[in-house]
Amino acid sequence: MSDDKKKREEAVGEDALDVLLARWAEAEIEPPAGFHEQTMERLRETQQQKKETVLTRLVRKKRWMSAAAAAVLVLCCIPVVQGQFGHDITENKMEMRQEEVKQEEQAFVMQNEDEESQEATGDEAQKSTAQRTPKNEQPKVSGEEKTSQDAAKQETAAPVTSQTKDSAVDAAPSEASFVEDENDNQGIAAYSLDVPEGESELDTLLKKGRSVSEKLDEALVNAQSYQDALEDLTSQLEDAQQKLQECDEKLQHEPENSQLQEQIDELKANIETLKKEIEQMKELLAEAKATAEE
Amino acid sequence: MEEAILIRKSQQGDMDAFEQLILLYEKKVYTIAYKYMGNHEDASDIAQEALIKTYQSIGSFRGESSFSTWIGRITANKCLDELRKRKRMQVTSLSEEMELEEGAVQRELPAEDFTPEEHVVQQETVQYVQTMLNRLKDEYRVVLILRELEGRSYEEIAELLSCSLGTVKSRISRARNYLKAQILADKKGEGRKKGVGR
Repeated sequence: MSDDKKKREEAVGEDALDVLLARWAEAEIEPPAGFHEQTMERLRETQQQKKETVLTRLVRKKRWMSAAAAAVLVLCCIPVVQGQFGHDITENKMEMRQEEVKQEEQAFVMQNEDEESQEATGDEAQKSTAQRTPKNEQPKVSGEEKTSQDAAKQETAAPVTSQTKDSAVDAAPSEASFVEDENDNQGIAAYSLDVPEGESELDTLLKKGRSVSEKLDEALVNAQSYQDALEDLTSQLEDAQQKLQECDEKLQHEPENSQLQEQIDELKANIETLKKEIEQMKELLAEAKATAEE
Repeated sequence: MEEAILIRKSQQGDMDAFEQLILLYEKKVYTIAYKYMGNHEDASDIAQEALIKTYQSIGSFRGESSFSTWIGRITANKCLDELRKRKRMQVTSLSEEMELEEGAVQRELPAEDFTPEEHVVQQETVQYVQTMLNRLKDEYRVVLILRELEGRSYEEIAELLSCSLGTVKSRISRARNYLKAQILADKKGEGRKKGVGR
């Protein structure tokens, strides 16, 4: 730089420059219109994104959460599925009983045919009737089923009674047996569409037992998942605390390092979150254990 | 509402309290950002980022310094980070740049139709100085801002910018000389000088 230039610069003067810089330093500049609103809007968006990010991170990082969610889903579905199966089983039972009835009817018809052949050989009609009577004591069916059963019985019984001389003798013991024999009442009940009281209690007990078992399983699964999660969180907390300690030490050497400060802030926030999660997890674990004990 | 109460509520996550709190400081934050960044667009962006950062970090504010100082420091750090990101803070040969007539000019800012006298008369000194500062390269402007605006010591600036004490003194001195040369040039109507400027 030439001496002439230096002289010219000095002519401006340090004092003049200081004055200018001081004015500049003191002056405040008005933010543009809408700055405040934009700032708040941006802040809210950032906070919203941060919350979403935290949730996403939790879901991504912690496999136990998806496993726990799957377990809960399965447990929720179990009663529905069981209800469906329970309904089907009842229907199956009804079908099976109907099959049994048909088989009995067929057996009855076969026996009647045998007896016809025996009667043809010259046995007395009364004796024949007395032998047949207990076999007429087939289970009573309520409603439409009963009507169809009766119709079938009448069809099969018709040839026999036609051969007997006294049909009243044939019919009387049969009707009496419907009223007197309690075992037959159970048979009738077996064909009834109404749920018998005894079975209802049994079903209730079974359902209760199943429910308790399900609850126990659920509580055990939950407790296990919570325990795993707790260990995972504790491990993460320890890591974060260790990192924080390291960053703090670094910050002492570089107090103006803003990136380090940011990292520390993030770690602190993370530690706080982890602590809260651990507390929640402990509560959940305690609840699950209490449920299992119950 | 008192500042301390607003701070405490903000620390508890009360965004309304924080909104009231930043109403007191957003001018200061914007001013710092503008002086560092040199234009309104960048200043708005950085000032908003600084205020968001303030909200996120307010839990760690312990009141060891005033809130004003604390928020000012956050803003300055944001500006420095941004300038670092833009990789403008490159160490270059100072001897070349001190050649005001011959030194390479990276980018010229549009000329402003005003003289220093007019600025003084019209009380636009601030805009005038800012315009001249904007012509400086970032490394010179930043040291001058840290020294003149924030009143930091040479040692602090050296530590903050990770450079030697000699470099800081040299940059401040040359930046001041450049500003003086600019003022002189404007006085004499010679137009803008080249050199430490962009």
